[in-house]
Amino acid sequence: MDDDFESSLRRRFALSAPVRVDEGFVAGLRLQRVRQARRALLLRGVFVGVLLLAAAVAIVRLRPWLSAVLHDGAALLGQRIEGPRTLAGAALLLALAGAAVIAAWAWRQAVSRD
Amino acid sequence: MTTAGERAGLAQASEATVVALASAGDDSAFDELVRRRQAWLRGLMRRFCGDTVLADDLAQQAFLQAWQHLPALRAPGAFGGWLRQLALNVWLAEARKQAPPLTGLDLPDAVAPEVDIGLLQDLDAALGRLRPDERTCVVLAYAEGLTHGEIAAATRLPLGTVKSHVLRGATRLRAWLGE
Repeated sequence: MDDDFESSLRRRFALSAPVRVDEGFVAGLRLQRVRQARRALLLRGVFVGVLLLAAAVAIVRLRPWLSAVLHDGAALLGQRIEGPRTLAGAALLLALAGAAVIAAWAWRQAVSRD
Repeated sequence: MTTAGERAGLAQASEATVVALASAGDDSAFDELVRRRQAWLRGLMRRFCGDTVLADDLAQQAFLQAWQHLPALRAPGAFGGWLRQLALNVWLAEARKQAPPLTGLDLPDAVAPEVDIGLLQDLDAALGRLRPDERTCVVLAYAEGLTHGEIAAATRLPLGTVKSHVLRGATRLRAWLGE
């Protein structure tokens, strides 16, 4: 391959059909970034929600052990606690409320990014 | 929203500054990077794939990846080369998805095999006749000015293969372009 042809090829590449700057391309890309950010945020919200639910389920499953620990702790502190069922129910409700609040926050953030 | 003053300020800033701002999460700085680099990147993708619509889609994918991974870029001055590598990876992934090879994409009827392509005198049409791997190497060598070693590193092809792709591709182009 001779140098003349190589330089001519480079020149052709440099000169041929320049692409125009398109503001629509910038806007389209911005929109895609917003969509991607929403999706990521939503996924994060769902992940945290699932995590909280799993925590709630774990609390229910470990109820006897947890309540025993709490009873012992309360006894040590000289306080009275109603019973294991009430405790587990309260913990579950608290976890569910937390999950709902976080999901609502994630959704609000997701729809207000633009 | 970015004010006109902020946008004008960004337009005058050096690329390294704009990259640093975009890397820190400034959306309008990233828009400015897209404004500066889009013509080059879309042109490069057009050369790679020969299809203007697909090229714009691939360029968008490359920019989106740049937006996601920009915080990992340590040297703002290396943004151009880094973006080119992202674009090349996007194109190579697309080329792998498309089988049989991408030759002849978006070519006018006049480029049918029975027609003498040498008469077309058109670089883009001639490029479209090359095999995708040859075209990629030729574009990187002659449009982007990379050395054979740099092309081998960027495409992860053996150096000997890159040399033969560049030589064979350029020889074909020479024949088709009638020089």
